[in-house]
Amino acid sequence: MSVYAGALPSGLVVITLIIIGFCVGVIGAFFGVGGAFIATPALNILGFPMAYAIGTDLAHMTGKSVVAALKHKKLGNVDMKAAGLLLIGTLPGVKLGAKAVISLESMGMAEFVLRTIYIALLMVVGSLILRESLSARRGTEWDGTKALLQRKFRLKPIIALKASGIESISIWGVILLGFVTGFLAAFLGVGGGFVRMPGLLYLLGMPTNMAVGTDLLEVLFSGGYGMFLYAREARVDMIAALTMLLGASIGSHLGALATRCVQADSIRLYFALTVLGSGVAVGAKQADLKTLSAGILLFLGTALTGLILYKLARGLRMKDKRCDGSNLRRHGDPAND
Amino acid sequence: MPEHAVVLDVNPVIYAVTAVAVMVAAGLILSATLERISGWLGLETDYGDSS
Repeated sequence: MSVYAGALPSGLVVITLIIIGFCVGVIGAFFGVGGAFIATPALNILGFPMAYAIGTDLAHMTGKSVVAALKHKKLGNVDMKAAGLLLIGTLPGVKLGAKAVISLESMGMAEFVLRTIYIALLMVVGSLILRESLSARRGTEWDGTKALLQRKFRLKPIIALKASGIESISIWGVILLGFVTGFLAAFLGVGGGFVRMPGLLYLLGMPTNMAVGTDLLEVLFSGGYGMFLYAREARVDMIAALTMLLGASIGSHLGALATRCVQADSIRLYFALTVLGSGVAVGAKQADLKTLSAGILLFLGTALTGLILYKLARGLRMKDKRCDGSNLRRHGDPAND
Repeated sequence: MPEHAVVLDVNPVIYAVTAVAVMVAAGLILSATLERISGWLGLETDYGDSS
């Protein structure tokens, strides 16, 4: 049986793919997301049909997540125990989410319902994080011990997630979070980072950097599974994906490093603005303003990459003062009080 | 089909599994290479383990 594996790109396309990969790599590793909200429309603009754009993006995301997750692991930003438990919930969540989409499709209302829920979710999640990060900047730092799943959900067995500084949490709470975020990811057809990262922060009570690193490990598995499904249908351009990976791996490396040079509340603030900007872009697409939507996303991608690299360069210039991890405020640390 | 398309005569499932493995392997190789380059450029500081 013949399988389409990709097409040899021209020199200009190669450079564009590397730049797209680089930008998405920086943003993805900095926020702990796959970055599909920027890469997929960018590939689409470059001439990839939508199914190939999604498949190729998922493929590069798989390779990029390896680089970013390893870097975050080295920086001590990955909670392996939490990641394993989340994964147990994520897999059935993804399966149920995909089934829900198929049911909606059979009713002929998938496109409208999914996009409306997506916009609402982006706006609500973005607004909540924006509100919290702004109050943190005014001195009221988010206290992870007040997280919903730590306080209200006490179904036994109770475990400790020492790497994240979480003293006691129900094992079912972590699995449930994985299930819900997995469901939403498959239901909305996105990587899920934009719901999982805030979920880890505000529902589980993880510190910001730990949420970013742990989420990236989840992105590796969800991206890998998604890539498998698209590659099986010959909807992945492997040559383009590998070309993007060249830029993305460098970007991921720098993006992960930058999390050490930026205050945790600033990471959350930038994340909130990114999520809100994406919500506006998806809203513009819903209103059939496709050029405006693509323009917002491309502007968001380049502006964020520039900002993150600027912060990294400034931090590194100050030699170990800003990039020594002192921005990692932990629950119970004196810096938090 | 685009110009200069690369078409392989292979089972789609085997192709998909191999494609995922290729991306993961590429990620591992690039990660190790970048770590080494970072070391040469002095981009690494002694972060310790924040956990």
